[in-house]
Amino acid sequence: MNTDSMIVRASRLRKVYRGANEVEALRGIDLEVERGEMVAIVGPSGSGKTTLLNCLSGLDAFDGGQVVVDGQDLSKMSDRARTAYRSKNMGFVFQAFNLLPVLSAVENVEIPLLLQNLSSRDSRRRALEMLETLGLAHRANHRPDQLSGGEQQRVAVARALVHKPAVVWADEPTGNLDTEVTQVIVELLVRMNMDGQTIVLVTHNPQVAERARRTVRMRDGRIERAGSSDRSAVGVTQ
Amino acid sequence: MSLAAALIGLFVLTYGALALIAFRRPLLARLAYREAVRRPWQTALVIAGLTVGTALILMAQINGDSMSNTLTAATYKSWGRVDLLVTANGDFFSSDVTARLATDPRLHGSVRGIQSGVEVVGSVADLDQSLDKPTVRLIGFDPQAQGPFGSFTLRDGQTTAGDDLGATGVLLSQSLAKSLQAKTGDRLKVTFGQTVADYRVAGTARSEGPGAYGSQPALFGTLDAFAPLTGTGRINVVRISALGDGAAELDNSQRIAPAVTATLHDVMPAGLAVRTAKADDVNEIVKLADAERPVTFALGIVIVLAGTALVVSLALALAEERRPRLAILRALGLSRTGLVVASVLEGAIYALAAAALGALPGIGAGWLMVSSAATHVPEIQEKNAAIVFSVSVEAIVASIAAGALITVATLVAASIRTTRMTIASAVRALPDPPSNRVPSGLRTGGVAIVGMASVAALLSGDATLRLVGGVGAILAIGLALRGRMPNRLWATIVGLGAAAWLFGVYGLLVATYLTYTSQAATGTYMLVATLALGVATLSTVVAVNMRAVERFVPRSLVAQLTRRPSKLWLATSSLGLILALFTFMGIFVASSSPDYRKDSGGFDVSVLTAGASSPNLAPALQSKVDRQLALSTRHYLGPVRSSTSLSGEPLDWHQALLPLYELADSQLTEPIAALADRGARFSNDAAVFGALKTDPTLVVSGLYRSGTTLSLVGRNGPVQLTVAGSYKTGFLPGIIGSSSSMAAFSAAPQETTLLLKLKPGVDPAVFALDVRRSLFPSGVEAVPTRDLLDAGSAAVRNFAAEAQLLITAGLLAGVLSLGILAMRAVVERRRSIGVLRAVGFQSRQLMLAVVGESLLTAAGGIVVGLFIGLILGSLFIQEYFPGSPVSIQFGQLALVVGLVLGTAAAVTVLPALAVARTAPAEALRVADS
Repeated sequence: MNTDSMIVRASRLRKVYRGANEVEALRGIDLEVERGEMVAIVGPSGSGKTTLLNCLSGLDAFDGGQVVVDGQDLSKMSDRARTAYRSKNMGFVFQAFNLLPVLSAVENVEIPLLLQNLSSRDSRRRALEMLETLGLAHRANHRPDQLSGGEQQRVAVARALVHKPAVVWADEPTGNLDTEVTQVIVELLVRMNMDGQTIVLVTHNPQVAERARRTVRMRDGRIERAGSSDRSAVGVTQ
Repeated sequence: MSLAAALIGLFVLTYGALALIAFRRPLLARLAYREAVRRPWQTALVIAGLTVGTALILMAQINGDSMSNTLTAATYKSWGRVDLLVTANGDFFSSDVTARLATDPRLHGSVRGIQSGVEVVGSVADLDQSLDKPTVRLIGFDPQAQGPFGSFTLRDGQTTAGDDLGATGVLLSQSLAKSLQAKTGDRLKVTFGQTVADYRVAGTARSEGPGAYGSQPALFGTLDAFAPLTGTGRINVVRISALGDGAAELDNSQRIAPAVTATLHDVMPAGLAVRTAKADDVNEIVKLADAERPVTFALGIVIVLAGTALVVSLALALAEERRPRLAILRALGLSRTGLVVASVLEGAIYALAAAALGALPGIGAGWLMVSSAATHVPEIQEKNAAIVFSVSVEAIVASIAAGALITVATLVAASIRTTRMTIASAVRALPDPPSNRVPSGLRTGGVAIVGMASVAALLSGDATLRLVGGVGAILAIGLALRGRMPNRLWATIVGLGAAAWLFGVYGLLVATYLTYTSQAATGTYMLVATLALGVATLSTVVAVNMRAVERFVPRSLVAQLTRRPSKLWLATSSLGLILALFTFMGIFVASSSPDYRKDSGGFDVSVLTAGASSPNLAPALQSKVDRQLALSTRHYLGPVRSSTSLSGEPLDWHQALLPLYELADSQLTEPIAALADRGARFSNDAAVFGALKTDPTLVVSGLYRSGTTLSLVGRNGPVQLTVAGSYKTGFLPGIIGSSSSMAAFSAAPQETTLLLKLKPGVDPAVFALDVRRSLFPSGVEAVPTRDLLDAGSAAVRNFAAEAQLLITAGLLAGVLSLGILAMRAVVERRRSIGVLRAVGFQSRQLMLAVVGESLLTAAGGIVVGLFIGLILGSLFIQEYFPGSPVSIQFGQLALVVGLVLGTAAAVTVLPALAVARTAPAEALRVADS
């Protein structure tokens, strides 16, 4: 394991969408995330938040610069290597939950473990433990369409955490949830972060952002300003 | 190792490997299984669409096996226990030869029996039933030596070796007894040449053992009984039976043939020849049956290709619907290979289920096809063969294996395409951003390899390879130029270029190189390759240019069709393939149908009588005749070898009964009727007949196509003849030549064929019957020429009916696939539909859009199919029937086009109704559940 205190380092990161009109979505981003940090990326629509998250997490390729996660330079990895790295070291939470409808809650949670070739028995045990931790043990055998939105997102969080990734990436994790459930999910993420889990999330919701230790504000593909929070403060702080 | 065994082996290996993967990667197996069982109706639709491959493969296999077994069994049966024939090229010789063979120590222990015999062709009249039959095989045998050849079994179950028949008792074959409606005890008048003898029906021999000998209408009598017809002590054949059964018997016969030849050499140094008759016939008939396989197989390939396009369409539709789910798996760390494996595991479940279910319609279709063979396979009719419907477990398993493997292979290819995605976009169900990839080294290398392989194919000597190589070269050049011009223009130019190459080269090949008659299999494969590639290239042009319809209808309603050329290409190709084949077959049938007046030279009735002189028609009949032409005729019964046959295959020596028509010099001045085709060196029909006059090796035929080389055994040994021109099949169905070209066969008794042109208003069928009645009992055959031509073209008509069965199955699959795809589209585009409803489109408009999309797709397929079918059909007919006009059944084509469009609209009604029922808010809200 890399002992560098920075788990994510992005330097001069550039991403261009080519088409009829070329759009430079990321214009030389420099960003570092400390191990165990919870960072919220905020900004108006089209500012490049999700693109940044996708490039940092290796979901998308970029056109310039460098991204190093836990000491591994993503830009030098092949697609196959990046995929393998993702399965081991990253977890994802999406706005639309993106659970697989054909699998039950516990089967969804155990996907990352099975992808790492953990035995079926161990995978199931750890997935159930994770669901229990999140208070969903009684819903383990339900399919996504039998779960509420909040429960689905908690299952998604469980799936993101079950294999103890180095970083959890969350893209608008509360975008589809009401205020009450949003609160539950945020508390869950904060609790995991306090247990040492590095979390990078993209959000529009100031209430979510204010619970992060640090916020990064983006505009037009650039980081406008970055700040930190002691989680008790209200709003985004310098 | 047989192909079936290889297929089954590959199937076991493939599914074994998939099972191992499923065991080692339970997550992938679980995903595959859950997806497969998640929506039973959807799964049922997918499986139904995939059954086509197995069904067609099994149908072709059953047809091939059944034909082969039917004809082989009939050939074995027609020879009974007879394996070798010793003849003197049609002449008679002393029965002492038989005695010498029977006592030769070299043959002891190798033969089952040796027998003297007579085999000639004559006519038989039943005086008690007042019915007669010309062209009957008169088969004389020695009852003392009949034992090893088996006993005749009579209709009442009694058996006889012939020793109780007496001097005038004869046995009739089943077909002859039926034709004469003869009963035991009936008086018979038998004519051979100018000789007439009276006999009595001693019984009807069942069509088994020696009673099936010859397969033709036959009359069996002892040599003593035949003495008044052929002369005492004179025989024209020695029959030899080898030891063993089945293949062992054939092997033995071939082994002892040299010893028989050696003995004959001692007896009579020249003039006698031995032939392994049964083995020769069995070998040739198996070859003939096998020759049918590539044609059926090639037609099947077209339908399977169409089915494969459906598989790919379904795979794309499923992948499109599941794109976000697939992307999340990728995001979580499943490699692209893993995703392909998961898709293939799921596809393997569908493929196996579809392949197993496809066996049932395959057996049904095979049964239909085999049943119809009795009426259209000339060899079955000739041998009066009982159909052997053969469905082996091996064929079923091999077909299931082949069907499943084709589907799995197609799914692997489709999955490689569908798993290519930008994960970040796909996770959120957003379209992939435009690709900004520069051509990779891999792709450049691929294009280079395709280019080099194409050039190598172009330089090869194989015509089909050259044809495909040209398309490959155009594609390689096109790929190299990709990106230098707008995609639409690029695809249009490449598509049109490749199509022009295909049609140009095919036209050139059929005109200069390819002769269907001598290269049926090559010709069929080349045709199929041209047809498939032509459809693929022109479908590309149609698919990329479908955007033109956006000028006439709201873009948002048709964009799903016009902006997805890959999907449109698949559907257009699928339907285009079937319709091209349909159009081609339509042209083939229409162009090969006889023109009765032209093809019969205006003659209405053909009368065959024994004797050299024309029959004297009763004055009442003669008064109805406008014009008549008498042709000297003989029947040749013996071995024949031909460089081609009705099936297109060359045939080595085999037993045949052929009418030989001898034209006097005065009859060689002008053609009797217009020739259906003639050799390239002859500028007109008169030139053909002029050449017949001067060249005794040239003949005309109503059975063999021009260019065929024939070998028959004449008085002094083999005679080689070349067919310079041919009549429409059925008119004068034998060999027509000058007196010098027919001189070698003058030993056969002379007959006369009288061609009659009747006065207006006289019914040829009634007249023919009157002629038969009036000339009874001289064994006259009188047939309207229309019936002869119909019988001649029956093979083509019925072959077309067989192909029609295939095409109908394909058409059904093609049109149903439009419905399935429309249904899938509704599921896949639920959100889009919600958006369109939300922005103000009426549900009726969206319903019309769904139906219209299906109609436009069908129209694309119809345009491509008709265009290619018409072009290839015309090119083919110009080669197959040189000089014949290309006939197109516009009415039939219009009917099929109407049916396709109507069905395409009908099968999309359900999906359209589903669209109408979609509530916008619900569709917009819908999660991937």
